[in-house]
This record gives sequence, structure tokens and C-alpha cells, in this order.
Amino acid sequence: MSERYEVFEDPWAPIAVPEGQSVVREFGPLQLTISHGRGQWWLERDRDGLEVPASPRPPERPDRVRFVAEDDVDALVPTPALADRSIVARPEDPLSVVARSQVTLIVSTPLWVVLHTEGGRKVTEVPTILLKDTWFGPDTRNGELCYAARTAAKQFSPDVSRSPLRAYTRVRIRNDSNKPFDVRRVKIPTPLLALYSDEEGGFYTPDLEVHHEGGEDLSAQTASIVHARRRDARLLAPARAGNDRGLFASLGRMLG
Amino acid sequence: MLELPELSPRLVRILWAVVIAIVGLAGARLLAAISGRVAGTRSRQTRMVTERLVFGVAGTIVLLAALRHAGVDPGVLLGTAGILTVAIGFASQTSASNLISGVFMLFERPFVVGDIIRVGSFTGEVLSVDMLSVKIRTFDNLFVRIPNETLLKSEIANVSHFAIRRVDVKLTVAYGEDMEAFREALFSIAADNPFVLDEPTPMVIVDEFRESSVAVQFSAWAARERFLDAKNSLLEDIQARIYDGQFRSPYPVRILVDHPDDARIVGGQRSARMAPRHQDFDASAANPAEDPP
Repeated sequence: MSERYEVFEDPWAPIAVPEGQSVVREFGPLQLTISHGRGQWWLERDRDGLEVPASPRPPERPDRVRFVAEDDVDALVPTPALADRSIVARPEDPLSVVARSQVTLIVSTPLWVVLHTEGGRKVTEVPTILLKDTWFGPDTRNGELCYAARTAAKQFSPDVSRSPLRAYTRVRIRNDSNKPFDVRRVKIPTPLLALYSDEEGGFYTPDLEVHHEGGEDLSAQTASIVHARRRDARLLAPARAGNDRGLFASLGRMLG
Repeated sequence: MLELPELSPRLVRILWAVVIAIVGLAGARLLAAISGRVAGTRSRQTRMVTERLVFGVAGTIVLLAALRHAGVDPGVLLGTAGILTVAIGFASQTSASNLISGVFMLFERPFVVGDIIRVGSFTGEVLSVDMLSVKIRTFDNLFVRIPNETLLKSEIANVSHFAIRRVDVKLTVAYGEDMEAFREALFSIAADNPFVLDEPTPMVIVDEFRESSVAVQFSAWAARERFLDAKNSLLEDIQARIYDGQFRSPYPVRILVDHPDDARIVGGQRSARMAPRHQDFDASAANPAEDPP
């Protein structure tokens, strides 16, 4: 089976693989080798390890999976999706929002690659970056298993380096207390968020808001989704966990 | 033409009773299955208990009806049972104890079907919680029946109750090693391990000073399902990056003093030997890193 190495500026372009050939497509640190046989596909993935932090550990062992279907197609279509679990992003540098102020931070999260056939039938999905797991909750009994990530938590869009493999979320933090608010972590509830793209091909989610009124128990803060859909927004993927339109109410603890 | 012998009315009644019992018990089984499915949509244990309860009640009614049809007065049976109860009661103290313990366990619910529990020397998955005993399947695929009374008296560890677990690794550090560097190396191992949770953050506890080393406990958290992966990979990483890497293994150290003013350090793989009496030895020249506290 002959192998072809593709260099695409747009990693989300359809992957055409004629029968008897293989194609390698890179999604950042994730490298997918797709081989096409009669009525079947082989998907081999290799990656550069964990995102948090850069790992000296050997890369994950490439795994090869075979997919079969009753009819044959010559191309697979990769589409972006948000993570299947919430992502807890910790600021790279300790971050504090001064008393009685409001800031908007931009947090990016890695995307998942969902492979479909040309007819729209799902084949599989793969995270572009392997994230570490983390626990988000007030104690070790109550909480939720999430992915861990670091964020630069930049304030202004021009400062953010755009990646076609990440989704961007604006998190507005309102500190209505008379004390500085130490933002130790931000939980992005990705399964509850829809994914949109703009005209420039960037990916983003609905905006989030955190309202801090003081108190020591930071985990008791509640967050809500603010639908700030831009004019050029195009829905790419609905929220994994149902429709997020009904989630104006409390969505659970985002800051802790 | 073959003529069938005429059956006596009593025999007909008995045959009908058998039919009622068979059909009735099949119906009771069906009713139990439906009830279990309706009641136990979330928990396998609720489903199992509901099924058994419904089948027990419905089955008893069916059997009593069948007996009545066969001409047996259930009242007589119950009266006989009353007399037998005393005798059976004395003979079945253990069973009764297990039964009552089972009822308490059902209310207390220290575990449910599917949980991983540790009781005594057994660790395994709970297969069923019955009135007399709990059945578990150990990881080496043994079927173990534990009487409810034993369970009620025992300490039970439910390994799968919470979503995350802590991996504790006991380590020793040689005297003289840089503890700060040792601590940082352990944190680095945890950060690089894909099975270890980012939070709760790992911790290093200096446990005690031993004869030849400092005892340290390294604790990191992992998701319940990845506990073994985390433990195995952490131990492998510690072996590769701590003991085969930048830190010495803390071998036992002995100082043999043949003369009050003489001392010789014998440690590690070297065989012990006494310092010759005539040989002067400067204790201060010995490696202080190998001195015991």
C-alpha cells in the first residue's frame, strides 16, 4: 500500500484516499495515517505526548484500528468538535482580578477530530492533544473528572495567537467584592457548549461569565453561558450534552 | 380406537394444580422481570432485589393457589409450619442471623452490585447481594460467597465508591541526598504521567528517619479506573528516573568500630570486614553522606 504525506494548510479539508493507498494528515501533534482497502479503512494515530506539560515520556504507542462499512467511500471528512469532558484551565501565571472590576479573558481549548464518511456517517473521533485528567470539586468525594490545561488567559484578541486546532472562549469575570479575586482555575464546560466558526475560519464557543461576590469558598461561584453569537457565526457542532440554550441558569461551579 | 382410562377427579385436580403451579410460576417470573426492569433502571442491585421480592410474593401466592386446587388446605400447612417454626428456629440460627444481617445490609447499602469491595483477604466485584450471602468475583476469577453475618461484623473497604483514588508509594532516600531535588523529581514524574490527576496535587511526606535512609511517602491521585495504570507507571518511572537516575539507592550502612578511636564504614554491596587493630582510621574522612543519623 503506497503512502502519501499530505501538507495541508487547512487540516479540516476532506481526506481523499484512493483504494490501496495511505495518507498521512497532521493535526498539530496528532498524526493520523489513513489507509483505504476495499470496504475498509485503517486508522493509525501517533502523537507527541501530553500537552501539560511538555512530556519527556515516550510518545503514546501508535494504535491501529480497522473500520469497515457495507459500502465503500473514497474520502473521509474531518470536522472539529469540543472536548467530551469539561476542561479545567489553570492560568500559567497566578492571576488576580482586582476588587470591583470586570475583565474578559480568552481561554483556548484543544479540539477533537471527528471523522465522517462523505455521507455524514461517523467513523471515529480523536483528540488532537492528549490532556491530563484532573478533578474539579470541593473535595475528593464530590466533583467531576475533567481534563487539565494551562491558559495564558490573555485579555485582548490581538494578543492571542490563533490556531486552527483550538476553540476560543471568552470568559467574563466580574469581581463585585471588595477584595481581589484570585483566579486559580477556570472550568470550561465544553460538553455543554456548541462550536461555531467565523469568516476567518477561527473556532469559538459561546461566551461564559463568572460572577464573584466574595467569600472564601471560591468553588461556590456559579457561572452561566452568555450567548453572544456573532453575525458571521456558523454552527459547526451542537453541544454534546444537549442544547445549551436552556442553560442561562446556573451551570455549576466554574471557579474554585 | 385406544380408550384412555378414566381419571379419578382427585387426580384431575392434582394435574390441574400442577398446571397452575407451572403456568403461575412462569407468570410470576415474567412479572418479576418486568418489575425489576421498571424499578431498577439506575441500579443493578435495585433491579435484583425487586425481581426477587416480586417473584417470592407472587410465587408463594401461586403455590398456595395450586395447593388449594389440589385439595390441600393451606391452613393445615401453615399450622404445621407454625409448629415446625420452633424446631426450625433452633436449627437455623445461623441462617436467621444471615437473613437479618442481609436486611440490615440492604438498608445500609455499604456497596451495590458491581462495586469492587475488599473483605478480609478477598477483593472482588460484587455479583449479587442476597438474603443470606453476598457473592463476589475476585480478580483471579474465583467465586466467593460471604455470609451476610460475616460482612456485617467485618470491615468492608469499598474500593470503587469514589471516582478518584490516591496512589501511595513508599520510598527511601539515602542520607545526604538533596531532598528538595528529590521532591521536585517526584513532582516532575507525576506531572509527566498521563494517568495521574493534575489536581488534587501530588504530595511528598517525609515519614521518618531510619537507620540508613529517610522514609518518604509519595502520594498522587488517579481516576478509579486508571488506578492500577497509575500505580504501575509511577513505580516504573521512579525506578527509571530516581533510582537508576540522579539519586543513589539507600543501601544499608554499617560502621564497625574495632577500637574506640577507629572506625570503618562498610556498606552497600561490600562485604563487612573488621578494621585491623593496627590500622589508623580517621572517622572524619568517611563520607558523611553515608553516616547514619
